[in-house]
Amino acid sequence: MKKREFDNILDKCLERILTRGETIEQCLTSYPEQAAELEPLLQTVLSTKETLALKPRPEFRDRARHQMLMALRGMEERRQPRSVLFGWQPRWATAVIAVLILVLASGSTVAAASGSMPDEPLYPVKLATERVRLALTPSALGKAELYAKLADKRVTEIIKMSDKGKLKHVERATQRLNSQLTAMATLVSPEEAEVFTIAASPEAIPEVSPPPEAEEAGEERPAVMLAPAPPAAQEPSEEETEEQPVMAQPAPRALAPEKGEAAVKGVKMDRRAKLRMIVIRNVAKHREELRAALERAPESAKPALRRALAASNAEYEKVLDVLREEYEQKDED
Amino acid sequence: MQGEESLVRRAQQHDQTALTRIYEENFDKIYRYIVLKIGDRIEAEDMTQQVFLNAFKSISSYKPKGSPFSSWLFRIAHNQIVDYLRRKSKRATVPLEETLAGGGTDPGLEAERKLTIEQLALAAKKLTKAQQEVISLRFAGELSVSQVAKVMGKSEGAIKALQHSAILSLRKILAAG
Repeated sequence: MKKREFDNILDKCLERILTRGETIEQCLTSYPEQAAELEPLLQTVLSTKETLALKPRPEFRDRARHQMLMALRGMEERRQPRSVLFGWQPRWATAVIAVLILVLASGSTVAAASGSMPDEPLYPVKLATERVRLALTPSALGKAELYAKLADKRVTEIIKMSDKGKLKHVERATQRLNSQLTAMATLVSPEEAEVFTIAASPEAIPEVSPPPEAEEAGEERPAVMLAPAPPAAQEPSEEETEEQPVMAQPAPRALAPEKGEAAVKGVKMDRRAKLRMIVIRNVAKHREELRAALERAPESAKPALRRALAASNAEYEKVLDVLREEYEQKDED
Repeated sequence: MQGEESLVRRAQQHDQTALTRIYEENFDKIYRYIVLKIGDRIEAEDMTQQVFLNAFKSISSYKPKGSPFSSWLFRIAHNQIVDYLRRKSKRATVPLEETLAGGGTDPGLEAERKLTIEQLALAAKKLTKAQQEVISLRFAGELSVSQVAKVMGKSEGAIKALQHSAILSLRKILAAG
């Protein structure tokens, strides 16, 4: 028998055993003449496969997934073109501009920009303003609430852009919606506390109130400890040395006196309940609005809208899962 | 393949749902591939994470050439392993047996499994480079023969022949203990 023929038979048997779940005996029955030669080889592969039935530690896998999402979100935010306002200034200048933006917000460009759409010149100002608001929101819950509002804006943008047939903008707004909902899920996730515990210095960890000096001075600290730097052949690009995304770092808080803990916890829970209500309302509203837009959209815009609908459903599901857990925990308490 | 192409296109536009799906579908396979090559479970976890970070950072440069996206991931993993082994060889040599003893969360399970993993990793080291690659991609990475052929730039016939000789050699090495 030719060697090539035997190679083929061996491979056929491996496919049957490894992908279709057949037994060695079943395979040997099909090739009685080669059975004696095949059997030890198939046994070796089976024991190799058994040995390789390894999985990374579950706690590592969860942490890695979380870190990956944070890193991806950071990449996404860095990828979005920055407004000229924030491109090059040192941090103190960014802070000054941020304050100026907020002070002037009542009657200026910023106010006009707040209703702008992705195809309009003022849209980058709108995004920059949103980043400032996120940066100036100290608590994780506050940021999450803000993300809920931003998600609402993104859905409006998706629909308006779809109505205008501007599919690229639909895609971009969907990506923003996606990453903002992912950010919200991460911020309300119980894992968040664990990750920040790893990243922050021990004294910076827990509860409540005034942000430490470093935070006031605008100093940023990495949100997560990522794996070691890539090998020389894959050096990070210049942009990877940029700051971490704003939302990746809820402000570390000073330790609250024990006495006030229950009250603070109660307030937090109320805010979570409120956030949960907002999210539930958003889910229904956005689903309805996107479906209506889908019905009236031209055929060419439908795939992009369907993706937006699917993505928002999936991401909202994650947010609600986390908030549901929290809510149930509260009931148990 | 059509589904994968659109998934990768979305990932290239930094669609997080698509990136997460790619990550979930491939993480364990890449991990097993690395474990078999380096024999260190803990190190393999960090390296797997790094593979995905590197891949996603440069995903926009990926161009499908008829091979599955995972083959690109395996290539990145392979390059990273080569770098790792090169760096390791410059440091003081730690016997593979010692390296293999690290890692694992369940001591009972680890004790039961340790010898087999140890044997397998050591035995695989004694194969030729091409045989090692076929065994790693086929049985740890779970690629088909045609996918392995594309990753290694060889014909399917050549991969089947390598697969045969690799299993045969592995069996002899394991039997010799």
